[in-house]
Amino acid sequence: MSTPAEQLQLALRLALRAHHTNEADAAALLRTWPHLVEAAYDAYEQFDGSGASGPPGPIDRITVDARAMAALAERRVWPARSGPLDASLQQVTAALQRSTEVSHAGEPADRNEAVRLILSTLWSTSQLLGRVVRDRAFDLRTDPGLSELQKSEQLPAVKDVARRFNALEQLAAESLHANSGIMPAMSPRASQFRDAIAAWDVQAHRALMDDRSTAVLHVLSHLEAESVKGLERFVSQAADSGIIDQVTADRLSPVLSDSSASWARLRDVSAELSFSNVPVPMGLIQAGRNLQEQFSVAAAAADLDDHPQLLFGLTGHLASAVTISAAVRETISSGELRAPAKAISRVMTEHNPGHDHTPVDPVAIQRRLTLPLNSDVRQLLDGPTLRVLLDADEAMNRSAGLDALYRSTTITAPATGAGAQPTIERRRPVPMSPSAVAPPPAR
Amino acid sequence: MNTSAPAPSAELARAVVHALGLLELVSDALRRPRRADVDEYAHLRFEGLVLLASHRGRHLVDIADRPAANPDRSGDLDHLLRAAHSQLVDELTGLEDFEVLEFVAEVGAICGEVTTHVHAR
Repeated sequence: MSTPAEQLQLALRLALRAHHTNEADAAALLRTWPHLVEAAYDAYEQFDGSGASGPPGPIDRITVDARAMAALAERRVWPARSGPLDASLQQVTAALQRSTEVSHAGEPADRNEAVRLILSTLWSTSQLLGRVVRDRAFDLRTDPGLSELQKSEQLPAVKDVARRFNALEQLAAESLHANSGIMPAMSPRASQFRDAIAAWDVQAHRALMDDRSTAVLHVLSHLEAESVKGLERFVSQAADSGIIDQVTADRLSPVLSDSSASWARLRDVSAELSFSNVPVPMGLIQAGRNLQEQFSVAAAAADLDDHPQLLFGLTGHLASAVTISAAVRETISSGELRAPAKAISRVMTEHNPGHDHTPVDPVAIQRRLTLPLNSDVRQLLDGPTLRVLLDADEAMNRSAGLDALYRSTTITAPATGAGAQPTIERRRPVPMSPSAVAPPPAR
Repeated sequence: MNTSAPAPSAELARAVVHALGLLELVSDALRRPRRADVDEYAHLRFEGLVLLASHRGRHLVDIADRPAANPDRSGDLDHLLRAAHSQLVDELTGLEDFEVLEFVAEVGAICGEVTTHVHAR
């Protein structure tokens, strides 16, 4: 019987091979994704000694996003819930499930190696999904099997999914980079910074899933607006203290400013549909406040060795802004977001002053019920949520340039003079043997 | 936290060199004039991917010691690339530096699209 580690290696190999074996059916891949992530999470739980009490990691973050996707599968615009699954990803899922089944029989595997293999599998499959869904967004425009109406309905949803998987790929990639052998070990401070980002990501997704209300959306967008402001200040401080170069900071700052403004706009629009006496999860508020605090202290207090980890954490935070905003858009477009009946009535009356009757059931208003947003009210939120997603996506893509600028761990102490030039880490090449001249034998 | 990434094996290095040789064939084919009906943006994206994979592959192996690539030009390029990708995957432990995984994934993505962008010329 094979060991769990061997099954995880098999899952990774199948995931990599899927890049050239799968049928490139974006809808089938997307339907299979939540099953694969659940299998990966089960495998992760087998090896994770800290369990639910420990700080969330990248696998927790990817899982909570996949669960948010799965929770809305019934009502999403694309893809249809019923349909085929992808065979290549099903194989990966099966290998991950087998690793759980054999985990008590074999030798105990190294926890960090297991996490690395699982995360690599998620990275590879999210990359495949991002590529295939992006191609689907191009092909959809000329698909003869769809009417113009279907195309106009599906295209925004397909593009959102492509952006979301691009973010998931970045999230997994930054964690794999951050824990690779060429990086310095993580200090407690850098670890705290990354934990705060992960906790915010998980809490935001959970809050949206557990209470699909405009009250949660209002608090979430308020905290995101403040967090991105904090991130902007962090980038500015980081440029001053030499963590990142000024050119990169100048390139990133405007889009962070735009992103903060678009979250603030969503906060204001959702405030009109929300009442302040509706409770929101305290975990969400605490995670948001903790993240802001970490941003304010991290750049000023960081050691030189912390710089690469902080930069990877920053990219990871921007990736989470994309997945959170995509989840918000999906919640709204699926018609699952709810608001107090009285608030809906007030907003609709304000936007349709000619109507002399209430557009919402008076009994619902009298009983203080919440109702799903109707299409008129959803349209009010559509513009701000799209802006939030696009700005977050742009910020994440621009931050990708930060990854190549990490400083060497062998750098000398920071000199304040202009002559201080950090050396860039030289990656070691794969050792070559004399027999490497010949191509590999055919198998 | 475990941050050690074992050095890739000599077999993996050979597989990287072999894949690099095939990527040179893809690059050569891409320099030929393309058909007008191939989407320009998608074509540029593919060219960029081939360039990125080639550079990353050279970064992984020591370029100074790398022998001239001499891939078998008689076979079908799709088939050769897929075989090379399978070879790369087989040699992986999954615990190498992340760059190795990135290279293998990029070769896999090139396999998936080479028919469209090379044979459609």
